[in-house]
Amino acid sequence: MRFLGAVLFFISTMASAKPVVIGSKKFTESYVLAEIAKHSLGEAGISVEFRPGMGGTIIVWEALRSGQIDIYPEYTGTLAEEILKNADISPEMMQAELAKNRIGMSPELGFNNTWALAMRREAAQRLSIRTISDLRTHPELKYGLTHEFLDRRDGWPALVRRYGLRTGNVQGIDHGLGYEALRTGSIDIKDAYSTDAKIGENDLVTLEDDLHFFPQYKAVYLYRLSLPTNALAALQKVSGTLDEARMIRLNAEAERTKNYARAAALYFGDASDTAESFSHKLLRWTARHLELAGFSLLLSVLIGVPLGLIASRPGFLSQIILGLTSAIQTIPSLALLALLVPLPFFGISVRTAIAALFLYGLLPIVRNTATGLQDIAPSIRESATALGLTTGARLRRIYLPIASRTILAGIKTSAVINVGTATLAALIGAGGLGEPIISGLNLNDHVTILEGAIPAALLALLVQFFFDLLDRVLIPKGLRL
Amino acid sequence: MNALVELHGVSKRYGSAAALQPTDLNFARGQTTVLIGPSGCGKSTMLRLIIRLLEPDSGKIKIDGASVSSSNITEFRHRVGYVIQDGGLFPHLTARGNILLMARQLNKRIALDELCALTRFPAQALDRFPAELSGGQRQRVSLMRALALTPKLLLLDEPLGALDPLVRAALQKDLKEIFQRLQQTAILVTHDLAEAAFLGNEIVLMNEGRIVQKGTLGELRSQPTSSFVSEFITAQRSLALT
Repeated sequence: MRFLGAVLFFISTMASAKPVVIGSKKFTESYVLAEIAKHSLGEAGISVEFRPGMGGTIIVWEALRSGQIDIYPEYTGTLAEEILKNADISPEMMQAELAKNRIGMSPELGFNNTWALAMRREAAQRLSIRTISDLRTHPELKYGLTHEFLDRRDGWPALVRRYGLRTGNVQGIDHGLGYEALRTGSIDIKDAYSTDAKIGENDLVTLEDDLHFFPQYKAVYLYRLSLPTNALAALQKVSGTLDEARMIRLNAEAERTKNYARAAALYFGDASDTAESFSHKLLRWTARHLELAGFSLLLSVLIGVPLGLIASRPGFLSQIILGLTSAIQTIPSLALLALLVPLPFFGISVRTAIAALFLYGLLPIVRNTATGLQDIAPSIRESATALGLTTGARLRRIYLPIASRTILAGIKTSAVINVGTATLAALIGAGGLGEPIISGLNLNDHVTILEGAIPAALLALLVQFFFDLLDRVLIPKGLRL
Repeated sequence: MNALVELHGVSKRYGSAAALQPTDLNFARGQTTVLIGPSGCGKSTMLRLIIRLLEPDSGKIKIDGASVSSSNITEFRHRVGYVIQDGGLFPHLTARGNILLMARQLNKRIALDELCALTRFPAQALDRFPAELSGGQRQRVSLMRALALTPKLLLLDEPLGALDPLVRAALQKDLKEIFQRLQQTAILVTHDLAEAAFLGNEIVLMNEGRIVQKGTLGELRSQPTSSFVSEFITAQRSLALT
């Protein structure tokens, strides 16, 4: 138990951050704005912890409100509609409402990134569609909309009501993949941001919001009022310096180079390559990945083997343990992460990722430990008892060594699953090899996805190989004959 | 006080089936008593009650005049050797590891050479695992494990049941020598009458959870107390002749 305590302590200290923590949502512009904030604070000599691409509005807002992050870029329209739930709120009222949550809002950064509907220029001309109102006469068009836009109060449902659109053909699709679908013609219309670099790149047009439905989406930074004054000063330097044209250029740079830090560097007039080399990034991702998978596996073993021991004895307790661990396994991993994030101890952190992976790793270990022990022949059990071995000695000297092959097989399964599932940790900004996969998905860039996916697959193979070796060391020779 | 083990009204049921009816029986010191009878007659149950793998539903079992309770069960088991049909050897330990396991736990020294000589086990095979030994060798190791702490009482539950006839005959002969040399109090369960007659000073014939008759083979043959006794003896003899 002392060892377990030490592990928990290490995890909690690892995750509790002293430096200013900057987060972002999961799309290019938010990444770039977060990089700019990081760079600006960094220039002022403030140490920064970076958690880009944490998720959608609510996740990042909750992380800020609960103090897990200190700064993230937001838009005034989103703030009014989604967070404060009041579309007509004045900027002064907004500041006051935020202050109640101990949160401040920087002056506007300059550009207005409102929502827009985009379609192929060629199709728009052919069908003479110029405004959103024109869509009313074309109910046959196929819409591919991001899940966030579909679900937002100020998003799709409100837009349909305002314009009286009749649309039977709407599907939810990832933002990055949506552009690909638009290009290949599997959808005709998607939601976009007005500063989205993809609009120019893909020869798309945005439809005029002729009924002025979309609110103003002025970019700002939200920050905790506890932010040190030097950090606040560095942050406010960015305000008023980013007009639409400049933002589109930075977004385009980020998407062209697949590198947000580089786009941020462009803002600071430093076009030289300040980015990490690929090998350095790979090392960082892999180290974090192993940290996530390793710690969660260690916890799974420390808790799972004793649980399996209890579950190996028939009875009510055994059914509860096996039932619960099986039930955990049926929760989709994304949902499990989402369930853990609002809990006080967890939130958007490495802790949450480790906890989720730990829970996933339990079942194979618990089940194999229980099965391995149950499969020990009655004659072996009786011999051990009749010899006069104490309960503890029977377990240590006889039962666990004999069950070791099955138990190790369970641990191996957990390890391989963990290495695979750990890629999802990047969704809550916990890093690892999921980081390039998530940003690659976001950029619709296969190379970036593979930068994470291939090492993750190789890592899973390596882990398998490592455990095969471990079998030879840990499984007694007499059982391998 | 000649009896080492005394059973007073001991009974055991499995659910509704009586495995052992209330039974009184004494086992003499320094003697080999054989429990014999058809499958399910209660002979193995009696052995497992004595070593306390089973708890009796009623009655008392006294060893050396004293009852065994949960507080002294471990010490009691250290003084009793137990050998079962498939040997019950621990597959992850070598022959040596199996034999010395308990002695090592108790920090006792064992004269392993003497045990090997006694059981005619080749000392060079001590570092083999059970899976690398023949059936007869496994039973010799099991016997050494049972004898390692010089037990007062040796319990053997069909120890030769799974062996082929030649190996079985050799082991029967060795067992008899060992019992005699050690003056060992032993209780042996078998269903083979020839083996019982060869090894036992006294034969206890059981059927349906009861003792039917006890005595030497000659007594059982000449003065059977029931038709079951003569049938059992006749069946075994005709089997041996074919």
